[in-house]
Amino acid sequence: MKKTDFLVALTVKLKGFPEEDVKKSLEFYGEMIDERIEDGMPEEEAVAAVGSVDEIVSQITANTPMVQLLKQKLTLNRKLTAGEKALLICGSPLWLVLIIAALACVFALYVSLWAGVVVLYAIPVCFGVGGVGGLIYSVFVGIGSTWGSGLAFAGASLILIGLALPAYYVCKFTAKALIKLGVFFWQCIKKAFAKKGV
Amino acid sequence: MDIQMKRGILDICVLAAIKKEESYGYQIIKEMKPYVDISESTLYPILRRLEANDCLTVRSAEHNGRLRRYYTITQAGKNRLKEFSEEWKEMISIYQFVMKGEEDEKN
Repeated sequence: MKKTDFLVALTVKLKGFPEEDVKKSLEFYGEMIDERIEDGMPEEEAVAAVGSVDEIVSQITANTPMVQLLKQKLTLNRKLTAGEKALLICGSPLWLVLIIAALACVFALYVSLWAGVVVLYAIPVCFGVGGVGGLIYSVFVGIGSTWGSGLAFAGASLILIGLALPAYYVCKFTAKALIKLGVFFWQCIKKAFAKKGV
Repeated sequence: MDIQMKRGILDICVLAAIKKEESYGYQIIKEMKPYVDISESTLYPILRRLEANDCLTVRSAEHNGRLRRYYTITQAGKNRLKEFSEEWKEMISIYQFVMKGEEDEKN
């Protein structure tokens, strides 16, 4: 791929991002390609060495705050006409409610994700605390009732304590995967938002 | 390595690459290459972040008929490097403690 083709492809993929950011990105990657060419590398190789367009876009998406994307989308390059203003005011009961609903959905998803993480970490804690509690209680069961039932209670409690550690590792792994999934979806939302207009 | 930790360390590496004198993107990559494998797509957000945090400043100057951007470390950047070297001393003592524990287990 030639440098100009690469920069055109990058411009197309960065459509929807803040103009200033796009300009700076193009300047940076253009400079990097020029440096490699100056270093004696053929143009195609220099372009390939900089990385793929998708990889670059992913990095930029991850590092552009959602607020900045929102600001860019909501900023108009021209003044609204009287008719558009009237339409905006009249339509506010609809679009305002839709925006609030969308924000509420995003917030609910965010809270659900962290609730899931808390629940996952609560599982091994419950095993551990329940096991220790059961072990103490088994003494009272043994004294107050029969030694047999006390021993059975103690055995079950020890199983719970034993399960706490493997459960911790399984839950930790799942919680990390859940967070990664959340980050992935957030990046997808940002990418979709950058591509589509409001 | 943890992503946040790696990100922080890469920030420090970039600051270290420009601590003596101003440098440009490609030179920074070349300087870091023997120690850390870093690509342009990784370097770019780091430079933007460091600039936003006032750890470096950028100026453009003409070079062979085109513009080249030079990055200069600021006092905030130097302070960050200093903080890192202090924190790293603590990290080394933690590492030695961990390794000592492992060696004891082997013996």
